[in-house]
Amino acid sequence: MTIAEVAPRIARGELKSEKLTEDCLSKIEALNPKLNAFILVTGEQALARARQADKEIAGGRYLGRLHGIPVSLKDLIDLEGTPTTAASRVRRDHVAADDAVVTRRLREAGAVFVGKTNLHEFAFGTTTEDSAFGPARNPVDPTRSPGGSSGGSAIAIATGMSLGTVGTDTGGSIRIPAAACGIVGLKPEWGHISATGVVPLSRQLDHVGPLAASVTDAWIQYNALQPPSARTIELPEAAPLNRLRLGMPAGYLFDRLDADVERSVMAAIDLLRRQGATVVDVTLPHANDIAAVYLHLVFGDGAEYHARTLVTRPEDYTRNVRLRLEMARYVLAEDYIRALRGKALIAAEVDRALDGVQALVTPALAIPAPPIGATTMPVKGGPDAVRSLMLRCSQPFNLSGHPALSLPCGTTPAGLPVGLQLVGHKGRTPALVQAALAVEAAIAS
Amino acid sequence: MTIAEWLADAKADAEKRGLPELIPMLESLAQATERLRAADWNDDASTQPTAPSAAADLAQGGSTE
Repeated sequence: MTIAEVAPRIARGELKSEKLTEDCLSKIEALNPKLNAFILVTGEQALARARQADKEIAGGRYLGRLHGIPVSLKDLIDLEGTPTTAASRVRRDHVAADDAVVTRRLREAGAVFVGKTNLHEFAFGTTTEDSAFGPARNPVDPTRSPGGSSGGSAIAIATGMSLGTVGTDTGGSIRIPAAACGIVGLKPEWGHISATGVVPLSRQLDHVGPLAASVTDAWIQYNALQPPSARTIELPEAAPLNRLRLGMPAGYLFDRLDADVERSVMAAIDLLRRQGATVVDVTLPHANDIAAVYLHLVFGDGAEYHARTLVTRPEDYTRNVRLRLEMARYVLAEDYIRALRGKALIAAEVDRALDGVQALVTPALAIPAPPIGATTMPVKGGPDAVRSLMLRCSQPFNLSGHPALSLPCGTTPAGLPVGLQLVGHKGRTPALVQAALAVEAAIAS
Repeated sequence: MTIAEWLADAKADAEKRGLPELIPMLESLAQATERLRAADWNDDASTQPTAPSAAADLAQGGSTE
């Protein structure tokens, strides 16, 4: 069930928001004990808001496609009057005094908040295992991670516990769980969606954006999260596939892929070619420096934000997150500056790779959802660190700030989802969504 | 400070703070720092400094004068 499917029925009064919200709350009640997607369920408030939405719509005051739609928020986004835990005991006494800007925008669009979703503590990880509330579990295979850090959000969409959700992405934390759970994740262009009222990991790499059951649903949410002056009423239409020109950056983004992931991604790219898209080779000359640049920036920024509580309340962090933050404190200023210069260079290289194409096409996640507890995965003969593998395909576009979207492109023989990533031009997110609609339709066919 | 010196100091500090689990992690960080310092966008004070827009110039294949 998608937002695009139910919104017209709600608008016509054929489907009540109260019923839809009850259905989501029932799914949460049934599935959350097993999957641990939600940290907080705001059932009573949600039902009250849903009944209010039904009255408004019956009275002729329909606000748009999100009116009466049950949505969730990653629990580092403020929802007035509720704790924003960031999945950490460090914030156990926190209660949000106000909505985050993105929360307010969803509220103004008439969305119904059903709860706050689990995440990797302080968004500092890719698996949603290190959480004060316990690990979240992949709905396809609960022995595996849902990806992260927005793992609970991805589970919520994949299972229908909410129809929309908002997550954050500092190195891939929207796109990674979207790929691991078989849904769509849109990381907007850096700075376009407000991060005010969102607990930061790295303010220069953090992006706030939607996870969704389809590209259209991602657009509907993204559109509402935008500043009012940027919003549109019409849904974007798919770009004609035979006029779609994609750039494929061979090398770094394709050279450490799990064999099953590689097969699915290459099959999807071949399918696009057969259906008329043009796929050309492009290069990112400094791609091999991306991980080093990213590490020094996210460590420097994370160390600054957590410096006080690492001294006063170290025992309130999960062990792995505390150790990474402690390590982060050893980054030297000169190396942070080197990384800043590298970031600017990589952004310019992504711009250059996009010359003459509508989007770049890459894998979204180099491996399928890893088993919970795994620290390495065998890829091309050698064990690689899970964290590095999971960040590898997504983090370049946090450094560059370009809009990027993950969408499902098949499954492994074990049934684990695989994600394809499209990366668009800055200032042209609607064109990226149009390309994604075309790719989504081609893969579905 | 060379990376070897930094790593030795960081390891000693981690031991002193009762965090020996950090030592292998610091060794990984040192490898990443080594890569960062070897990158071709870094300046050398004995030569002409790159311009403020050097990153963009380099990506365009242009001059960094």
